[in-house]
This record gives sequence, structure tokens and C-alpha cells, in this order.
Amino acid sequence: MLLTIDGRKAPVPVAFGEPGEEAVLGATALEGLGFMVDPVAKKLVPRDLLALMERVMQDQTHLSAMQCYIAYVGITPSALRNLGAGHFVGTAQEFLRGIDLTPLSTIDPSGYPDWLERKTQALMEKFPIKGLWGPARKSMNIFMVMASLNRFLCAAYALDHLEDVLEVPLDNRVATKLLKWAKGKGLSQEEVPQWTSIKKLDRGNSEKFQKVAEQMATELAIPRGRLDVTL
Amino acid sequence: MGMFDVRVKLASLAAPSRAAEVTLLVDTGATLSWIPRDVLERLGSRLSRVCHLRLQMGEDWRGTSPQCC
Repeated sequence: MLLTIDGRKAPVPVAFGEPGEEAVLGATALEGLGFMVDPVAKKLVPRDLLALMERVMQDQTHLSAMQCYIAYVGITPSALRNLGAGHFVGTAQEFLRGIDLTPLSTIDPSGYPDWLERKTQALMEKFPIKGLWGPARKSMNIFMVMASLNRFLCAAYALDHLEDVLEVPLDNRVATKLLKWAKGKGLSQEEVPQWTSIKKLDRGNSEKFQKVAEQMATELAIPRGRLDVTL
Repeated sequence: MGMFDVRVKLASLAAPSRAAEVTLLVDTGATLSWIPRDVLERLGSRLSRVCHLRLQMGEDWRGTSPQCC
């Protein structure tokens, strides 16, 4: 007989079922039609779809490993130094390796700052000393810039479309260069941020620095997130 | 283990326009598919051969199979 299930058809040997016997779909038919049984969901699953799902799972595992790698390579003891006693580096690494980057693949670039702020707040909450917004934002920005430069993460989460909204990771060196550039451009007192240390950096000053960085990046024709590479 | 049914369209290989839909219990423990005799006969299936099977319980079983078995 020619059997068709969900659009899949195949010639399948069948047997005459006599009264009182259960009408069943056996293994030969399932094999011929290319189905496997999902006993939990109680449905037939195309075998090629299962293979695809396995491939996706493998890819996902690879991406998770890559994300972990970026978190560990990017967040070093020197990136989070002078913060006081506590396990800052490990906390940031663990947090960043577990971030769900999936929403970024479809997010509008204008929505990135909100996403970034939510993650910054979440990381800040995990730090052993509370209220350290600057180190949390620095960790986020280092990770996001490095992730965007990683071809696997960039492709999987379409990070290239966020290139212009990624923030430059701030530290003493970058801040000094930005302030020097701002001074040379004659920016007003209100536009020029104040820098003391990453530990004391707050959101307001960070936004001012990022605005200066944006102007400088535009002048240099490079994405803001990569500005520190050239400084 | 969950048991479930599927809707299956059956058609004659010789005349595919002769078709019927039946509900079958998915049974991976069964080698063959078992279709009610009256359905197969309505579709014009003819007996192609008789199979002798030995069931797991040890008893012999003599079944009939339509064309293309």
C-alpha cells in the first residue's frame, strides 16, 4: 500500500488485520516513511528534522563554548583591579558566559542601550560589593565588543547590526584620551565628563564619555566599540 | 511509554486514486502495519502471500498479507 503521513509517502508492506486485532502502524512503515517516535510529545518526528535538531544542538554547544571563552579571555584580573576584596573577576566571567544573547539578533539598535543597562544592573547585583555600576558596565562592554569581533558569535547573534551602538569599554587610559580629544575640540563644560576611576564611574558620566567617544569614532570613521583599539 | 494514534492515508499502489484514511496505533514493537481487512478490500487489495510468523511467546501464527508485502 501507499501510505501517507504529514505529506510523506512511501510504499509500505501491510498485513490484513482480522476483526479484534488492533490496527497498528509498525516499524517497517515508520522506517520507510522516515519517521521516528517522540514518546513524550506523542508524535512522529521526521528523522531528517531530528538530524537537523542535533546539528542545531551541536552548534548551540559550540556557541556556548565560544561565549565562555570570550568571557574568560576578556575579563581578566587587570580589567577589574582595585575594586577591593571579593571575587569580581570570576563573578563577571560566570555572569557573562551565561548571558542569553539570542534577543540581540532581532533587537533594534535603538533598544540596545536598555538591554545593556538591564544586564549591567544584573551583574552589579551579583558583585560582592554592591553599587559598583562602573565595573559592571566595563565588564559588559569588554564582553560585547569582543563578542562582536568573534566571527561565530557575531554571525549567530547578528552582532554586526549593533556595531554603531556598542559602547567603548572605559578605563583610565581610554578616559584620558577621550578627555584630551574633547579638550582639543573645545567641547563645552557640560559635555565634558568627569573621570576619577572605573570604580566611581556612574551612568551619567559614562553616557557623556560615550557621546564624546561617538564623536571621535565618527571623525576616525571606526565603530565606537572599537575605539579603544586605536587609542 | 506514551501510546498514541496517527491518521494515515492509504492508497492502492495499482490505483492510487482508491484511497482511505484510517487511524492507526503507533507500535514500534510491531514489524508490520496491520490494516483492517475491510479497509484493504475496499481499496482493492488482494492477498499476495501468507506469512508464517513465530510470536515472541513461542506460538506459531499464520497471517495473510496483501499485494506488495
